[in-house]
Amino acid sequence: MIKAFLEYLFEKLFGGIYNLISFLVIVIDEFIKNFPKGYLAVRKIVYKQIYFSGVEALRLTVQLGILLGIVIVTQMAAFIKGLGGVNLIGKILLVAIIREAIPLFIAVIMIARSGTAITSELGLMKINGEVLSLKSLGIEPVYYIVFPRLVAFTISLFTITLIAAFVSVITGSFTLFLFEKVSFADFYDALFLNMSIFDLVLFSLKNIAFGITIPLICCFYGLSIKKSATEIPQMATKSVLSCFLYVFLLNVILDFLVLIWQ
Amino acid sequence: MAVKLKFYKLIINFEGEKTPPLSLMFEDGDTVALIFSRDFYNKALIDFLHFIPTDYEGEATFLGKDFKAFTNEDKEKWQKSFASVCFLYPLINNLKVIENVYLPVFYRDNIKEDLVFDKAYSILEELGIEKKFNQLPAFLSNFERKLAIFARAKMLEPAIIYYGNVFSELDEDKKDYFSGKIAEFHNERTDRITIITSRSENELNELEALKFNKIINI
Repeated sequence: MIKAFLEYLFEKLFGGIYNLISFLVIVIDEFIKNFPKGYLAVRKIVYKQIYFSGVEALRLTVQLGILLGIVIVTQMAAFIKGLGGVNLIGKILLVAIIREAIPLFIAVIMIARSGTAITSELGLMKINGEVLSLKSLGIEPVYYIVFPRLVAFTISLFTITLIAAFVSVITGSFTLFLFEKVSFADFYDALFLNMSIFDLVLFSLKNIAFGITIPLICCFYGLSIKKSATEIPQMATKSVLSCFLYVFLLNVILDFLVLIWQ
Repeated sequence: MAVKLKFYKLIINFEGEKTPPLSLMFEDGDTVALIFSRDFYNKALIDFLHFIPTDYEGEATFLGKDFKAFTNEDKEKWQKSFASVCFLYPLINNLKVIENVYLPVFYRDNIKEDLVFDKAYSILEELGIEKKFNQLPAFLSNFERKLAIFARAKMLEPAIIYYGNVFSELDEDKKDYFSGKIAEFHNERTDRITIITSRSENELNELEALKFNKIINI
């Protein structure tokens, strides 16, 4: 009885993580087995996916970067300035924008925008028999469908988050200059003085981890769809919720690891 | 005539059901009609021939080698020799028609896209659907989709080609056109084996362009 309960608890707590890790192992295994076969076809899918998840999401992320830069700076600047001057503003901006807010906000946008699209697209492919069709043509679906999405999503997420962070820092500096009369030189001096290798490592780690996790979850749920179209919205919802859960979980774990490292 | 493909008491276990035993030899140049009493047999056989996991009893050999003893190299050899035209394996909806046609060769041989594009376009021209090359499959009629799937199979230049219920739901003109194209393709190679499945023998007997040397009712 207790054993069964513990097994149930273990399954509920770690079943999802186990499934995802197993799926990632399958993706890597298929890549090792198949590469360089189909390299040109897979590369074409990578480019297409970068266009859909990266280029097309660029405008929205730049807008978000601008707004975040303005909002965070105006909310914090007034009272922080009194406490510790420009130096503290640089530090807060660094932690709030580059380390935390931007990677999380962009990940959330990408989940809502591209994650649901991936789950629905793969679900439809499965229902229409297109996945079987690929198999019949000697094309390994995991290698041809999932692997390029993982690569493209990671590249796209990393790039647009970098752009959004850059934009938010620029707009933050303008906002400070306009409303608090902090000069650009003082602001950038404070920002770069407070920036360390840990910030860059954390920023990169987060983007790579989110970039792999989000499409992995979405592809997993998309390919889990069996025969009915009614499963598509159900799986899309499940994939979005799982993405949120794992992204926030990863965020906490990575913050914690870097804190220990520091 | 060399025996290329042979089934002996082949029973396929598929989705909890079994197909009736099938014993048949396919020789170079054969045009074989398989009349299935149930669509399920067509689905089971085509999945089996594509190595989509299916359990089976009896024997199935290609060039004298049993399917069960196939190495990865044998599988690749088989995949290069066999293609199917069947709605069960549709076009990929997010790829344009021409991309669908050249995808298997582009993937399999890592050939530059320009080269496969030209070949695929000429096949679409032969079938009279070249104007639709840049469209997504959703914008094609049922018949055009069948022709595009045929074009995809032609691109692979298979020695054995399987047409699964391709004449169903086509009017007379389109049946004649399609069967003419199938016959042309069959005659391009003296050793090509053409397997055509249908639910009705009458449907196949009406096709003037195709001369079957074996008709099997299952």
